[in-house]
Amino acid sequence: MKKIVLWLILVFIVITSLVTIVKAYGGKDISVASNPAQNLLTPEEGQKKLIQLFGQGKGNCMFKGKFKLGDTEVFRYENSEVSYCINPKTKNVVCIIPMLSKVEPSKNTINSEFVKTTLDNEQIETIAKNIVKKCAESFKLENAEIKIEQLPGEIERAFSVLIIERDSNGRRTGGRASVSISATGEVTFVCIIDESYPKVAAQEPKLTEEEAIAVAYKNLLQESKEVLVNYDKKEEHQVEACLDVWKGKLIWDVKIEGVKARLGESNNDLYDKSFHFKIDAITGEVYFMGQNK
Amino acid sequence: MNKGRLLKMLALCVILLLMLSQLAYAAGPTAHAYGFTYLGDWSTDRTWVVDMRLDEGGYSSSYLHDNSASYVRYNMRNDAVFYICTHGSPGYFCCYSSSGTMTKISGNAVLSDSSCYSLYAMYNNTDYLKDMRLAYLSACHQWEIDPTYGCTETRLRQYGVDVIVSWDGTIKIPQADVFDRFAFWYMMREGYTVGTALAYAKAEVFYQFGDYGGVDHYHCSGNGDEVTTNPSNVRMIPARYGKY
Repeated sequence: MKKIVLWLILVFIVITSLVTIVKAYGGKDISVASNPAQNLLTPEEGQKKLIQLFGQGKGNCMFKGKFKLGDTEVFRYENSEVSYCINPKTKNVVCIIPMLSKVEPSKNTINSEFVKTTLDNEQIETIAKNIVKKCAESFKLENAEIKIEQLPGEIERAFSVLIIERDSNGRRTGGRASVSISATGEVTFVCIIDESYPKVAAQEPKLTEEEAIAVAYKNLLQESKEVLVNYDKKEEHQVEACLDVWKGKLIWDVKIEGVKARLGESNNDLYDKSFHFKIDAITGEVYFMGQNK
Repeated sequence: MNKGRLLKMLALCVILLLMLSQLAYAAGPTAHAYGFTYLGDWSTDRTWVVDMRLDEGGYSSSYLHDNSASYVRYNMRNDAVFYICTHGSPGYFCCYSSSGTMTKISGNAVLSDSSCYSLYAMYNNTDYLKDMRLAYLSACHQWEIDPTYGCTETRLRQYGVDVIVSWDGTIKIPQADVFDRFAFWYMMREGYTVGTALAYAKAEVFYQFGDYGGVDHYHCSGNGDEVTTNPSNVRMIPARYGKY
């Protein structure tokens, strides 16, 4: 009898363990989770990869240790010119940062003026896509959304390119890349979030766009109604909402602009306030609320 | 030498060492970080963290809150580092009393605005700001020019500040919070150049939020220091005053 009870307990433990393991890994929709630990990149392999990608000059770097970018642990490598970060799980180069600025900023430009350049948007897009492809092979560029912006007064970071990964249905999947390009076409900054959640992106939101905007307004009023002047005049606001994936969750990304706010208690100075929300498209939970200074 | 005497000598040495370390600490270049309780935690908490980083970098830093524009403007003249976390509009940034009375520090003198204290009125044709190594204006629009209020960044550059960090457009509070904390971490703890520290802070914001909330529109301008004329390549440690 005692033996049977012991066997039953053993079988119960084995079954519950199996269920836990299946639950933990079964539903995960992230390329990183599928990489077994033994496939992690070593610091030495990272060094070789940098030389292979960027050549002996720019790619020959010292390993400076592990550190965190957001929640992601990365390896950092440096030489006198440039610093790289590699995600050891995905083996992608996720960050390129210059160690020294090569361009002397002009002391005489008027701040609002754009620096002259011969590059057009098509050339900028090609440069940005090429560097992202080189750094992160797994990043899907086929259906990506591209936003190009020129920064006034900047030579070294003249163009800012945001590449948002999308699936074949045009839904954002969570991967995104930011690239800065100088007025002469040199890449001066790269940062890539190389985690993609296609299954999450394919989900249908339970919250409609209108409901998400209503949640945003409710939170906006709770937070700062007392300093807002035209909070009830929605026709004066510019509202934008789109589905996105953020940290593995399907969200509504809601932006509200054109809200006027008082600058202080003692005078009538007003300023333009804008709000940004990230709202869970399934549960309606507000993960993020940002307003400008 | 007996044991008691030895202990006394040891204690004296320790006290002397402590006093010397305090003296060395006090001798660090002056820095001020300004926040405002009226604006809430986003202004005060971050300013407190920046103040701590400045201390760690060897600056003799003080965290000051709820000071008027007239006080802040006057006090800037002694600073190697000036940091302020507040609201801003093109041409000026705001200072608040604890009850919310607002006064402004502007680029140009604006006689029609009694709440306005201009950099021009106090520092034009002076060398008071030439000792300033870094002016970090953590507020919206400080790189922009307003036809009436002028531009705070331009004035600081004209009056000899080595490095000015400012923004065009608006910046969202959560992203700016992460940006400032990491920028000062990389400048003061890791010893990177201002330009590299700002780029790392930008990467951190992108990883945390998936967007920038405007903080990528930063500008690193100024006159540079005795090592480099490029403000992006200036290093903040070892702590020192700006190039005179």
